[in-house]
Amino acid sequence: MKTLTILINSSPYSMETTKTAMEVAQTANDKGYNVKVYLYVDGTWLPHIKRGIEGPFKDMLENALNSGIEITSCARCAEMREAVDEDILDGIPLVGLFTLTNYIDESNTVLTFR
Amino acid sequence: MSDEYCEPEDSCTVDPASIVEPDIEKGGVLLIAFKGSYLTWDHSDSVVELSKAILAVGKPVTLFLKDDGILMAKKGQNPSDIDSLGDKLKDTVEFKGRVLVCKDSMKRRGIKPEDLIDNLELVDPSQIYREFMIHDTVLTF
Repeated sequence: MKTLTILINSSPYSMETTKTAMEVAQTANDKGYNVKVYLYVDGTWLPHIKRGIEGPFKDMLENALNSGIEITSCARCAEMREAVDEDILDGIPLVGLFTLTNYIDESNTVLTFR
Repeated sequence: MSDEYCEPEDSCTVDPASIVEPDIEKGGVLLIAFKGSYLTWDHSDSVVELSKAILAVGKPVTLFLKDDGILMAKKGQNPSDIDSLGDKLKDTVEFKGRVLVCKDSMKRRGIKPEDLIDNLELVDPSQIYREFMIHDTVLTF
């Protein structure tokens, strides 16, 4: 099985970038890819319950998690935005940068959405 | 910061002492940075931290600074309340990361070679295509 990593640096409502990233993740998963999503910089707003996922993103994230997509979020970036603990959707752990370097090692393809 | 959330072996900032000699057999990562001002400080800071994390796991890394990305390579930065991007970039250079600076982006901004920190490679924009060919992974910031 091929592995795809998607790096999301953009905030939830910066044009359609983040929505497109999540659609690519879901489509790749549906087509049999092992998909990992790393939320970095402004991407860490995405799972924030009060400020990020109101609107379409809650369903997109929950569907992604339920279908086996691994989603992690940079702890340092999340802390800077106070997007931690109870503010974050369940199932999306806060992690360090070496999770991303592991994803890069394991992946056939890495896509950035900025 | 972040210690509460990260495992010790998965930190968000990289101790320069943990960086090892890159192994060219591992395949490199090309990071292209278009942002380098303090207005977008955390984007610039994040790409430099990632470059050090990649070096810390022994992979070669090249940081290609384009457009406003070149601003992080200027000498004499003195932000009062956060780390200097230039100082952090020096760590990447010191630990054998390649840092390339686009000459066209310098010209447009009136930045001369002597305005930049030492040991950078000044390159033409077309160099980016050559870099695509020799790296396994390309990430943009």
